[in-house]
Amino acid sequence: MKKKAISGLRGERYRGIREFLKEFRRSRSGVLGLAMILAFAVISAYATVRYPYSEVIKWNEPRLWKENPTNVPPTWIQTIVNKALPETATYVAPENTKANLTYRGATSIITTVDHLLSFRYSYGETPTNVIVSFKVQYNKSSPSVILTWIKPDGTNIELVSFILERGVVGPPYFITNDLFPLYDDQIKRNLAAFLRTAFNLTQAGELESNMVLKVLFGTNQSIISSGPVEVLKGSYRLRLSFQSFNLVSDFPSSNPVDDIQTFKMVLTGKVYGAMGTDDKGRDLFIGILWGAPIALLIGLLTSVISVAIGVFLGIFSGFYGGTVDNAIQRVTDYFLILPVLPLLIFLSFILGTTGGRSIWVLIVLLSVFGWPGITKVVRSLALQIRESGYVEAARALGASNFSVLLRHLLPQTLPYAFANIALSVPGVIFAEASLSFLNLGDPVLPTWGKILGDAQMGGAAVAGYWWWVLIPGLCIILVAMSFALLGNALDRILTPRLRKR
Amino acid sequence: MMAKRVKRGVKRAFQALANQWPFIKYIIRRSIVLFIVLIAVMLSLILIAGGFGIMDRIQRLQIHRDVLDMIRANPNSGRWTSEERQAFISNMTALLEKARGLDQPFYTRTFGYLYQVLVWDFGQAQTLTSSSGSSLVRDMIIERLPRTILLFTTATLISAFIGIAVALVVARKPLSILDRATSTFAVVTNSIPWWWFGMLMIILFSFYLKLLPSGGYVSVPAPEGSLALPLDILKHMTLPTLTIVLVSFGGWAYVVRSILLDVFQQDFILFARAKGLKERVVMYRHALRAAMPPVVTMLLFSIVGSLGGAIITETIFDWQGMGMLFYQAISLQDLPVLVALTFVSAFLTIVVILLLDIIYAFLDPRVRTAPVAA
Repeated sequence: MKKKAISGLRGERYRGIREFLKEFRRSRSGVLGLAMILAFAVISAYATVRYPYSEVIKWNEPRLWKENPTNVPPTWIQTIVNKALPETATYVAPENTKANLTYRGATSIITTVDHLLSFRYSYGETPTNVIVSFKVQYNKSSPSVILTWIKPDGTNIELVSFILERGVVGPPYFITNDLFPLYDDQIKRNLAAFLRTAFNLTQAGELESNMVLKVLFGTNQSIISSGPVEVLKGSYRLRLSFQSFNLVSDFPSSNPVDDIQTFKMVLTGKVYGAMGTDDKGRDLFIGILWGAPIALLIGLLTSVISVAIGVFLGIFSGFYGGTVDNAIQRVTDYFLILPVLPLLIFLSFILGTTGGRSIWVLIVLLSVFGWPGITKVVRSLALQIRESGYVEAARALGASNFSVLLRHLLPQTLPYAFANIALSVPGVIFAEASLSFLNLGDPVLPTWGKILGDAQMGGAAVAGYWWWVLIPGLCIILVAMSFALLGNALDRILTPRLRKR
Repeated sequence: MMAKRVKRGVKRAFQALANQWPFIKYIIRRSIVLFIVLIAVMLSLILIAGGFGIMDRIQRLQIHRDVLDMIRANPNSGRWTSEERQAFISNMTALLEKARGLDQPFYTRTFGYLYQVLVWDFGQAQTLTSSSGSSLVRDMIIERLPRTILLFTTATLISAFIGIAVALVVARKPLSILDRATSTFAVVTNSIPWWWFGMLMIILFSFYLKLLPSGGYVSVPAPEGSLALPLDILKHMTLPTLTIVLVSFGGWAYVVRSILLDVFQQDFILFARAKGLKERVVMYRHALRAAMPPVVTMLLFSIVGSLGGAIITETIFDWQGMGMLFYQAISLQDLPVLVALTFVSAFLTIVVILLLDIIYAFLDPRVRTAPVAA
């Protein structure tokens, strides 16, 4: 008999859930919100798998991004402007284009290596930057290298020739060298000299940076003219000539012969990736992708904590009344009156001076300011329930305070709590974005707010770098809106009593 | 004769005052409560900042500055050896620190700090200065505050005005297509951060269309003349104002519409219609007037609330107001300014809430005559 009653009750509960699901399915905005949240959850999972945490914390290291173009829009912009723009390409010289020649005399060994890197360039515009890097290995005396740029029409331009710095660890010594023609003084001098001799142009001793790419990629006509660059399309070659001279005595026979190990070049384009790059060449796709798990984590965890505090204090306050109620309500009023953002800034700044700034600290800070509104409503709910007939009946049956709290108050307020977890997420996400914008969020991880803060620092709005501003902001709005939609739907279904206030 | 009239006048004045007694009592009670809250907020801020040693660090910075000023003012200091100089600095610093009680534990100075904060004595900034060159934090805030109020009050008033106008139109036909469109627009714009939208507006209006300046308070150099200067400020204000209005008027329309629909349910509207009054008269004379108190409250609240939102919005538009001072203080790590701004924000919020209470009680007689709940 008793057992049957319980199972009947359980059936009742399941029916409640079934009815809720039925009603939820009918709410279009709720389903849309839930679908969007699930999509963001999938994106988050993908982000954490594709780019593990250990890689993403290197977001602020410029070394990692030096081979990317800076401030360029995403690749798909080409279909919008209907023009092929140069994309970033890396060319590695294959092993078979290397010609080694070693002369072994009685006292000396002379090694010459010619390594050739060829590539086709058929875009209508020049790339944004050229980065040449190579690695050589040698035994004793520093070798010399010559880098020559060979254009499709056969023009040879000697970019640079120099003797490598001495290695520290060795022999054999390994030296890696990066050359940036746009910023390298010797290359710019050599290019100016080339212009003087080849075109009889009066050139200053050093070519200006904006002319470098014109000389490297332009047709002869466009080099002379002052107009825009007309790119000479065709196969280009870049030759690295290496020469070393060693005494036999310095050259243990067990050691390998001096050689070029790697030779590669990066032409950074005018478009990059799915979401473009920022002023440090960072791939915004990675940063924005990683913004999703962080936003969801901060948003959900903070909301759960603040709603838990709010519901707990609200029930307590409404149920016990008297001094407890008064005390809790005064503290709540106090928190409601505080200007939240200035205080959040103040607190995270102070915590930052002691080095304690992370997403966890942020979650605690945001939770501290999240609960008061919820406490107010839950208290009024608790007051209503406390005075209701069935609580009176339960008490008459001898129910203790604790059992009334657990059996009647908590289950009644839980729906409200669930709806409010979703409803508080947008506010949390906006607050986090604001703090990160001010560089007061997590110092390491990329978040949407931080990317926007960087955009402000990098003058993105004034310079018209729309991709850097538009996409992270849209993400913030979409996540906030999806939780608002879900929360509103839950609120409508779960707390019908509050609908008619 | 004269005396009698005066006497009667005084009596009447007292009578009037006595009639208003509930109102006055209400104001006094609210003032006391909010003053206590103000003290509590300030005290807790001082204790938090003090617990991290921030308040003392500001004092030490100030002392260091004063000592260096003393050396500069001393005509003999040029002949000092570096040891003498060092000795003077350390002696003087120790003396001043003792004078300010810095050798005592922190909590002994709490009330001293509280007094300073309540009279807005925030000392000197580390690096920031006002445009007139003063490094007193108070001067800086007093210089910046009117600009913030100018921009955000204007923008809020315009948004509220447009919002009310839209609400008056859509509330006539609830659930029509226009009404639904307004609601959707409100929900969407409500989740757009002002500052982000501002960045997009700069990209559109000043980068692509080149119509408006991207930021700043006035042109540099500022134009002279009694008309040119306000016009120049107006030109710089346009883009931020437009941004705020576009993002926030939808919310206003939505809320005012709900309030109006609520008012329409009331008997007095039914009665006014039954009397055969024109719809316009019912709308403006009866419905709008009844809807006014909550709308005014919201207006004031959003002006106060916008001071918080101003921090990033002003930064985006390079608007040299209080919000941008916040940003500058954060990026330059200027502690005295940051702490001062936090106190001032809390101060202003509480003062405005008090004003709000008074205005609300004035607009809605029910508030001041109702028996006050504990």
